[in-house]
Amino acid sequence: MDSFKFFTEEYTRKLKGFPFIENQSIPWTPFKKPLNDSKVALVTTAGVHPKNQKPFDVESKRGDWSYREISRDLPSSELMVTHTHYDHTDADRDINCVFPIDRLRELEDEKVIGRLAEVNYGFMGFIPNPTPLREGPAKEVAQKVKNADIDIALLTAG
Amino acid sequence: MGLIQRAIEDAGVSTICITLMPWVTEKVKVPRAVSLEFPLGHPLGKSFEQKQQKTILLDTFRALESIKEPGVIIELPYKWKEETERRGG
Repeated sequence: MDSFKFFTEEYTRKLKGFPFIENQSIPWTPFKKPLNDSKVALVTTAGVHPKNQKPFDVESKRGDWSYREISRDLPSSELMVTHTHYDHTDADRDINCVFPIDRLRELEDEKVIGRLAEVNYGFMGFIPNPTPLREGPAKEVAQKVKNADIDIALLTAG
Repeated sequence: MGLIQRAIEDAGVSTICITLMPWVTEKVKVPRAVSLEFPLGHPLGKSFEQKQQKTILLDTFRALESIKEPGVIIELPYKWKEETERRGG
């Protein structure tokens, strides 16, 4: 599979030169529950947030590692994308392209999954220095997800 | 995305991501992933293609159930074209 198929040469070069953290170990929590009894939270870095909340700061050169809480009860028409590092034209028309909250509600109705989480999370993925994210919001959201008795976190990026 | 996924898994919740950049995902090392060769902005496929979106979700949950060791990335068999469909039918 080609990770760069849809990228320009310049973008590919930048990406290949980016100092991604190359982790050695991988955390692991076995998935043991039946899917139809599991509570699922959606977590995205595609810049999704409720229209009535503060947009992500896309001007900052440091990036914006804040996050927004997205209630399961909020209609998807009340969500929007603020992100300048991918083309979100299609997501603007249908947020489910990056944040499939309507599809997860349907899977809940169809009893494929147990329940969609009360609170889901939106981040904006452009964060050149990941340390503040790792030490702050990532841990904070992880604890909130754990405390909400979530069984599965599904992550998407833009 | 990988960093947040790792933090959630580390807190004791099973995670899986849908990645369009497995080259990056492999480096960051996440517990479980499915990958697609789609342009950025379309981890669930095209807008309003509800059936495709749901199929990708179901495949993702199936991957979550089947992956038994950390670091596995399962490539989903869909191609990006006018009508996305399974390879070979």
